[in-house]
Amino acid sequence: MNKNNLEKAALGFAIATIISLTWFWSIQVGWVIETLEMAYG
Amino acid sequence: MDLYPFFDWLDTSLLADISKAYGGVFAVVQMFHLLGISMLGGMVLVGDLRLLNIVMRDIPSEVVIENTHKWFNVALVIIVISGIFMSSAVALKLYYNTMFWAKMASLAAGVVFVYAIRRPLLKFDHATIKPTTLRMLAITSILIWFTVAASGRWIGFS
Repeated sequence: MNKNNLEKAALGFAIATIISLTWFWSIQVGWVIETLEMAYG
Repeated sequence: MDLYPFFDWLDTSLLADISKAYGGVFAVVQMFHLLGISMLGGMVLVGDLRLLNIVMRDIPSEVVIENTHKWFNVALVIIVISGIFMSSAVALKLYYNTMFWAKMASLAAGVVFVYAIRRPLLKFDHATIKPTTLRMLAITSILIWFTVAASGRWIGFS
């Protein structure tokens, strides 16, 4: 793959990763907060 | 594709017999697993923080990336081999663990990212690569490998 295509692939992968990991970690943190609320009110 | 047969086989394999019967062997292998994780994390951080121009600014980023990549490879091999051994002890439990699959998915994404995108792109002169692309490459790399390590640790609490 040439450099321009690799740069495009890198940016596409980066955007997809940032979106999916933000979603993933927000769910995990949400679960932790929910558990703490159940435990401590 | 259902991977249950593989985990079922792993649970009754010779590896599982050893990992379940000999706690000392498991502990030593786990030590190598943690050593591999810290080595991989160190290489990722050094390489990516250099790409972000935060550390070692007096050394060309090509040199830093070249050297960290060698040890990244070594660390990845140690992690995968020790990880397979460790997972054999609780193979069926892991099969039903969501965080284990999150870790495997992020590990697969990390391997594809490193060997199909990051490594081939960083073989070019870094001065010819757009600074935004270099920064995005570094941030993505840190995020992925953080997720691999953090979701791995989370397995123990889920």
